[in-house]
Parts: sequence; structure tokens; C-alpha cells
Amino acid sequence: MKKQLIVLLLVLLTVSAMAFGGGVAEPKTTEVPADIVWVTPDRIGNPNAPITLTYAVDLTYSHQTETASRKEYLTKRMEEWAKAHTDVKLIPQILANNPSERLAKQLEQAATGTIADAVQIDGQFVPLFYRWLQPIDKFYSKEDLADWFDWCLTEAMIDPEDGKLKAVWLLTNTVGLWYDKTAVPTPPQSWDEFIEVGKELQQNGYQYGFLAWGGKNEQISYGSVFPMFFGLGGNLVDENDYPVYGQGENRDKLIEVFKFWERAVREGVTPRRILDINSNGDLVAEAKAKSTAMFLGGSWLMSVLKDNLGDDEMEKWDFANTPQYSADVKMQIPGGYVMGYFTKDPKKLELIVDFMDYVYAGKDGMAGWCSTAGYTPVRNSVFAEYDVFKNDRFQQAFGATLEIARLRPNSSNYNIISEHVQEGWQNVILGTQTPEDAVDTAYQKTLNQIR
Amino acid sequence: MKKRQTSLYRRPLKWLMPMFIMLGLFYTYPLFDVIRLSFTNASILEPSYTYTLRSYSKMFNDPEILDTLATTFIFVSTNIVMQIITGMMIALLIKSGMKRGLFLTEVCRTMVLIAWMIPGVLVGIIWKLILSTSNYGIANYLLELAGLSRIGFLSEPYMALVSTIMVNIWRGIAFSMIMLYAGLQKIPEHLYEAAVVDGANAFQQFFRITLPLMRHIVFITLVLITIYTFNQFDMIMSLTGGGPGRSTEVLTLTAYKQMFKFFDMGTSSAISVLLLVLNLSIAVIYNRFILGKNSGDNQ
Repeated sequence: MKKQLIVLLLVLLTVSAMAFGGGVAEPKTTEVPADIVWVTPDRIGNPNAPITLTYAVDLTYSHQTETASRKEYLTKRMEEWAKAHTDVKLIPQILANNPSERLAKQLEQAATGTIADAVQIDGQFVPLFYRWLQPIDKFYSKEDLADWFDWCLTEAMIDPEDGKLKAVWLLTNTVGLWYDKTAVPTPPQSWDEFIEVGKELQQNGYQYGFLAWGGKNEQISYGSVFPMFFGLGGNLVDENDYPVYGQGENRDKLIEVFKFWERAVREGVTPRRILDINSNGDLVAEAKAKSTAMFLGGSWLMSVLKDNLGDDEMEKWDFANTPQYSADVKMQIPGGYVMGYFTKDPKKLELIVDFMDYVYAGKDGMAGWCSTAGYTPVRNSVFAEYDVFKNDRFQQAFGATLEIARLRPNSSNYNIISEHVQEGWQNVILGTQTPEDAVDTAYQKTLNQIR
Repeated sequence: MKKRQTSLYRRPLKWLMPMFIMLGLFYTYPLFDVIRLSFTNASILEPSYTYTLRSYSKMFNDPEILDTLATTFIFVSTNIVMQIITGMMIALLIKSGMKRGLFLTEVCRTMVLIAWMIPGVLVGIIWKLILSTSNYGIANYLLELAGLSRIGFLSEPYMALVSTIMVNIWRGIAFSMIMLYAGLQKIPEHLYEAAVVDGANAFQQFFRITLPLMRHIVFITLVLITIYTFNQFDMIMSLTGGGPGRSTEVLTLTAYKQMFKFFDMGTSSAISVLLLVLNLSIAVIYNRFILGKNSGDNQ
């Protein structure tokens, strides 16, 4: 009996040790192995290093990505940094692919203290993490910070509560109007022009006047509704984070946006089937098939369009602001990611900030990463000093459109609002609700949810 | 040897303990934790919570969730009926084909099974490519070749629900077919031979011999199909995401939305408990109507 119990206990102990990572203790030296591979999929740096840092990024921002150019750039920069810091090794973590799921997990990890030392966070939601983020002011001079676009600082990087620097914005993107210059010499700036030009295109043989994302996801809010709503001066929430988009003037403004889309569908300029368009490939396929010469799409489509259309055809395409209710209004919604730091160890904090600056956020890092991956930088000096951005007409266009930008509110209720606005907008496109009913129903559902 | 056996039979608990620990840690604890959370107002955004019936009250008073419940019942009931009937038909055809030694019958059986082996996410993506109204949508391309107009398989609410149901039936038929085919193999052949001698036709053989003798396997298949279909998530998420509007949103998607989009753990857990209760209730109903009092009979 005793013997059996001992055997059982030994088995359990062995299983536990295996499961929870027991084993030989790691050597605490900076000795670099002779046959070292500096960057492996699950480690960067000296495997014997006494300091271990962890960081979590999206797969496409990681050196584990399948995209050769990104992998090459990241591996090279990481290796350079690791060779200069033989006392450090970094363990990468990959974030969940789905943005909502990712945010939920990050919040859960931050609350339970299990989050990585540095984490890539959606710029819009940084304020939800302020209470856990560590100040990093001492690593950046005033001149450094002044280099970032204003909205990066005010909307996310600096915590308004204590005025401390809590995160660093890495890159940005936006949704605007892609158009074929040979068919549309001057991009439409107002809704009326948008519909008018769309009709002309259809008369000239294009199947659709214009297209946009309409499949059920955040792209509806981010690309097709909120830029226009913000252009009208609408607000989604008040200063107390309470949803107000269905009240008073805000309600009228959202109804105006829905009416524009309802008119576009009713007049046949854009089809109901945009409800089936929800990926980059859907829009690019239509551009390639020449079924449309205008669509609302992300700035990140530049590289996808180039790959699919070829250089000659791409020469014909350009990017402009999203058309607004009036031609004299300009408004874009910037997206993008920040790097937030959670480690409370001062030494680790210094090292991980330095690593992230070297690879992604410093001037060279941002220029290198954004030019490799096709993103838009958020530091003025990068636009001004690096040829790759100075001479790229698309990057210049993205930068110009983002001069007047407004972020989606960093409200804890944003997802609830966005989800219901998406449903309402889809119902308007389907014709199952009037714009007024759609806004009122969406607003009521939002209030029911937050109660 | 005998001593060891006696020891094992006398004190089985210690040998079963590892299994109980694993089941307790990874199955029972999460289940009870979900039930516990359903009686709270827990949110991912706030570490503190209180015990309340708010989540259940919200669930039963929210017209949105009740709409989803209706969509779920349409989705599940259509799937169950179609999967059982079609699965049975294919199983009978394959059995008949095998009996006659028909060429490629086994290949057909394997082909049907492949659909079941493909992960749900991939099934959704594959069918999205087929049903898309974009230029690369294969189904619409074929319709246009035939001189017909395009159909918004995924962009019209009614068609999107029909498409989602059809895709799930396509995927699920293989499972019911293989289960029912296994059941058919166990029916003694001499019963059919006797029935033929007595002049019974094919329908009479099916309803008087096949179906009664397959009650148990039909019951198990029904229970499993019901659970799989109620819990269907990945395929719908990748095919329609619950849209357009909320036309293809089933309870699992609502639970996911409440948790990962609205951060409402309480309501999400309450919906999960509702799903559990629905699955258990339907299993009890099946048990009563299919197996009846003589549940110990046959097979």
C-alpha cells in the first residue's frame, strides 16, 4: 500500500515538474555559447543571459511572421541589439489574432499581473491600460516627444491624469479613398460629388460607382461610418464615457451619414452586396477586375494593391481623404498600435524600451519597420528625413490626410457602440430599417447593454 | 496476480484518483466556475463583482438575445432533421452498394468523411470563397455562366441563414452517416431475408426492422448532432460573423460577443449555462421519446 502511494506520488511529482517547467536551473552568466544562434523563433539573444525580458506582439509584427521582408528586417535588427546586450534574452509572445479577443486577454493579463514586460496595444484602447502601464518619461527628451504627431501624444501616449508618458505610438494607418486617376482625375470631396462621380463611372462602363467594406466587423465603423460622423462633428460618448450618439444633434448627424449610404444604395452607385465585402482581398479583387475605380479602403492596402496590380497599373492609383458632407471638411480616423510597458523593474524597463526603440519606435527603427512593412510612420522627422518616405507619393498622401485626424473614443463602451452601429448601418443598406429607426434601435440596444 | 486484482477491486479509488483530479481540474471546475460567474455581474474591465441575478434577467428580457434564440432553434432543428435523414440515406446507399460490391462505394464513403475532417474555420473560409458575390465567387460565376443573375448568398439575411444551415449540413452529414452506417452493420441479415420471404417491401423493412433496431444508435447520433450544432461557432464566425445584421447570429456567437466584445462575463456565462440546459433537456426528451421505457432492449 505504502509502496503504491509512493509510486503514485512520484508519478504526480514528475508530471507536475514537466507541466510547470521544472528542470535544470538556468545558468546565470553572460557567457555566449560558441555555436549561438542569436535569433530563434522563441528566443532573441544569449540563451545563458541572466536577464529575461518578455514582450507580446501581433504575429505580423513578430520575427516569426511568414512575410520574408518583415522577417529579414526584424531578425537583423534584433540580432544587432542582442549582440550588444549579451546579458539579456527576450522571449516573444504572439497576441491573439482577433482584436476583441486580444484586448480582452490583455486586460485580463494586466489585471492579474501576468502580462508581458512590453505589449503591443491598439492605440485606441491605451487609456484602458493606464493604471497598469509604467511611466517612461525618463527615456525620452522633450524634443523627442515633440517629434510625434500631436494626436499620438494627446490621445494615447500621455496619461491625462498624471501627465506621464505611458506608451509609445509605433505607426499608423487610416481608411480613405483609393481612386484610379485615369478614370477619376479629381477625387470627390463631398458626398454629392462622390455619388455624382460614381454614376459617371458606371456610365463609362464600371460595374460599381464605388465600393467599401460592409461585412460585419469594425471596418464598417472605422472606414464607412465614423469618419463621416466625426466630419459632421458628431460625438459617440460624452466626457463621462456615456454613449450620446443617439441623442440630439449627434443622432441627427449619424442619421445624415446613414442617409448618405441609403441614397448611394438606392441610386445604385454602390451595391447591397458590399455587405459581403470584408477583407482586403475583396476590394483588391474588384480593383484588379476593373469593376470599380473608387473604393474606401485602408492605407495598408498599398502593398497589397502593388502586389496584385503591378507597378504600371499601380501608377494610375492614388489616395485621398474620405469624402465628407461638405467639400471643405477634412477628417480621417487614424488607427495603429502603441507599445506599452508593464514591467516594474527599472533595469528591465530601460532595456525593453531600448530594444523596442531600436526595432520599432526610434527614428531609425520606425523608418526601417514602416518602410519594410508598408505602414505610415508617426514621427515628423521620419517623414522629413528619410528618402523612403520623402519620395513616396503614397506615404506623403497618407501623411497629408492624417493632418486632421480624430481617434475613435477610447471608451470602455466603444465596442458596444460600434457593434450596434454596424448592425444599424447594415440594416439601412439592406433596406430593412430607415436611417432614423436604425440609429434609434442601435442606441437603445447600446443603452440596454451598458445598463 | 489474484492478490493484485483483489487489491485493485477493493481500493479502486487511488487508481482512479489521477483521472478524477484531471477531470475535476480541467472539466468540472471550469463548468462550475461558469455557472458561478453567471450569477455575477463580472466584467473583464473590473476585477470586483457582486452576486446577482442580473445576467439572467438581462438575458430573458433582452429582445436581441431572444431573437438569437429563435435563429439558433431554426439553425439547430433544420440541421438535425436534414443531417439525420440525409445521413441515413447515404448510410443505406453505402450499405447497399457494399452488399452488391459496387465500384467506388468505399471511395464515396471516404469522400463524405473528408468534409467532417476539415476544421470548421476552414469550412467557413472555403464556402465563403464559393458563395461570395465578389468576382471570385464560384457559385455566382456558375450562375452567371448559366445565364442567371447573381444571388447574395451571404449578403441577404434570409439567404445567409440558408447558406449557413446548408454548409453545416454539408459538414455534419458525414458524422451521422458513419454513426448510422455502423448501426446498420449490426442488424442481422437474416431478419431482412425473413422479411423478404414474408413479402415485406423496402419501406416496410426500413420502418419495421431497420429503424426499431437502430433506436439506440439514432438516439446517440441525435444527441451528439444536437450538441455539435448548438455549439457551432467557428464555421459561422468565419463564414458570416453572424451577419448581415444579426441574421446568422446563434447563441454561441452571442456568448462570444458578450465576453470578448462587450467584456460582460456574467451575461456570457448565463448564455453558456442556457446552452448547457438546452442540450441536457433535449437529450432527456430524446431519451424519453426514442428509447422510451424499454431502453434496455436491443443492441
